[in-house]
Amino acid sequence: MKRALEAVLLIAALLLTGSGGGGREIESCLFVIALAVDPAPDGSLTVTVKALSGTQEAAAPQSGEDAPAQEAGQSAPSAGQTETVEPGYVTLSATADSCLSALNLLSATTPRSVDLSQLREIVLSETLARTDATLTILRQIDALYEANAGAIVVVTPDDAGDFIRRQYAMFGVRLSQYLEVLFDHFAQLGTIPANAKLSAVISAMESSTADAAAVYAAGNAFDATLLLGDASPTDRLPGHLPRTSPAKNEYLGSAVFSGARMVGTLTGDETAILRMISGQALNTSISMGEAIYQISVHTRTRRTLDWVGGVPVLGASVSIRMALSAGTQQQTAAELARQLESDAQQLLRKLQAMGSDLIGYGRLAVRRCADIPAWEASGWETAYRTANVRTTARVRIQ
Amino acid sequence: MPNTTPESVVAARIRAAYRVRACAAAVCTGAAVFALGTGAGMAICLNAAWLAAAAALPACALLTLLAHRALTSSRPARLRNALLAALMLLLAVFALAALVSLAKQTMLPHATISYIARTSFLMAALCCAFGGAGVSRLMFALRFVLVLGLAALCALSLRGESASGLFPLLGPGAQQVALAALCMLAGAAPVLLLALPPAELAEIDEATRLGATPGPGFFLWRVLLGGAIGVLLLAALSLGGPYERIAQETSWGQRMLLARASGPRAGGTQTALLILQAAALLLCAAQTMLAGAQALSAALPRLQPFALPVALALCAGLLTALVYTGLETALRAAPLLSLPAAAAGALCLGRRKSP
Repeated sequence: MKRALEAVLLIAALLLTGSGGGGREIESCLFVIALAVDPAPDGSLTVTVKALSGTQEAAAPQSGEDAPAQEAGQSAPSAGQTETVEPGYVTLSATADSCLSALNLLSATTPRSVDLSQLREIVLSETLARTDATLTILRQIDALYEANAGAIVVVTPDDAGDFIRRQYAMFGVRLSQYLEVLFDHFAQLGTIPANAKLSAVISAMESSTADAAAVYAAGNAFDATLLLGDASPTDRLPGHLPRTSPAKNEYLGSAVFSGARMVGTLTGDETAILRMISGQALNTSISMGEAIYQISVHTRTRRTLDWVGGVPVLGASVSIRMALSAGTQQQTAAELARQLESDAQQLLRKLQAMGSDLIGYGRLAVRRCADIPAWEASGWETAYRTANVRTTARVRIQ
Repeated sequence: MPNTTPESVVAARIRAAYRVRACAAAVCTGAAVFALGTGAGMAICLNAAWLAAAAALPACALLTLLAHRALTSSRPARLRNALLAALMLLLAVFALAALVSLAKQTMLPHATISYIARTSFLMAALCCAFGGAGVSRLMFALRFVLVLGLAALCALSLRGESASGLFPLLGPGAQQVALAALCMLAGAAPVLLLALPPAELAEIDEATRLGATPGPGFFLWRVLLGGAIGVLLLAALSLGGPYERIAQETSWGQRMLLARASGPRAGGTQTALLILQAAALLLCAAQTMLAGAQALSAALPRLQPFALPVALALCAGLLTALVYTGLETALRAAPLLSLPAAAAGALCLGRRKSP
């Protein structure tokens, strides 16, 4: 009896599980590497995607010299759908009344279904990011198309579609790998925010206890010779770095959000300070004066929120160990500590003025409330803007 | 010299069978608390679901004591066994529904619900076909892997997260937490499988079995540990993101993703976590299905040779109905399982038989 039951179940397993649906051929998918969203004149959205073309050249890396030549032949997107071809990659765009409709349009009008599982970069136009539509767009991309939750969210003051058209792989790697290496490199430099991944940005935008930051990026036209002046090379916004390079896109600094709406920007150096007081600058570099220092993993950071006479005091303390990695040290450890304290204070004041809690002081404030209605009635947003700031830094140079 | 008299060998065997049974009940309780917490608890009280789930722990303790009393009772218990059979089969279907929801959201996003349901049911049925002792022993063998593995993987996947997700502690409010706690009482129901003596002890005479049955404390700490793991997993879920995020997630399977802040389906930690979660739910379904079949044969002795096929057929029918009506139906019905559990618990009160 028992053996007969086992045999029946095994045969049933073969018969019943053989009808699994939903399988997709790899050739039937349009694997998107970069996606851009722009506002269209009539209130619609234009979604541009750069995807693997699926041809044999797709596997072959592009050379840095060939790619710009290919780009020269690309046409600007128009309403509806445009296709431009470059070796291994295809750029498509569609305009519709929502991001979801535009993606559906791309799926419907392309002989392949859009697949965002390999997505590495989502570029939003700054005009769009400064509206409340950002969260809805990111949610649609994340949930409905099962996008790679590790894709980096980028905001650009330029046309986002043009931004990803200019984006091509260099140095003999695939575009997906190139983007991974690129973001890792800038994260190592500490000049882009640490939590700019799609899942983290959505989570922070949905949260009432913290705010989101995305990578800020822009194209450099190379038509003007800019001088650095006294400022540090990274204490500026993208698109203004005087250099010559095959890469026309510059990633530098942060796009700061308050809720779902972008409210300002941080330069590369401000982003580095932000990472430091958030405890996310371990093993990264920081430029101070004429020198660049490597921050040790033994660095300790602490955020505090005290209430003095009913007024919150935002505290940030850093006990930092760093090693000189380039340049010459012209300041003592005490002077560097004072400079760090001052920079951190300026940054916190700037964030307060923007109404953005990137550090997450709300996460400390929420602990005072017993339940959600009490938290929502606590008026934290107003209290945050008027809070006092206290920063302390201890620097040890190895 | 170890005592190797026949009596002591039998006593050791009985004790080992109960130890295995207690581990199985603990795993089932943890899985049920987790599934109910993500399904019903989080829908009501968001990030405070873990607090509401803690209410199931005293219920676990009470039902364990009652189940232990039933083990040592001489009272005829056909009604209790019939009630237990229905309860266990419903719990099995509920665990399968949770497994289907989790698999759909994570491992098989492109497969149809009916395909995942059929596959899950067949896996559980195959586990059952190889006997109740096998499933219980597998749970016993995996006890450290499940408990330590889940705890370690949670810690790894939540590394860097602050504890802010737990706040505000009462979520939407004390009333909602109390309501969720009432709904979560059904999470303790799998404990009642302890009221059924392990199937492998069937050939041992009742007097010997009763004489070697361990005390209630033997079962109690294991079951409470299993329930506590379920509560801790729910707390880990709250740590993974703010309460607004939980409110946005309408799907049962989505809410089960422990490491969603770090990106679902990304990395070995999340994969291992999913495998352990799925294994716990599958074993819970198989164990409760077997307990249901055992209770069915005890309630209707003439049905004994066909008890397992009948139990499997009932589960398959209920699961098919759920697939067509939507898995959310299981969530709406699950809190009501506390009623038959309470009735079965009350029927466990009987005269003790002296060993």
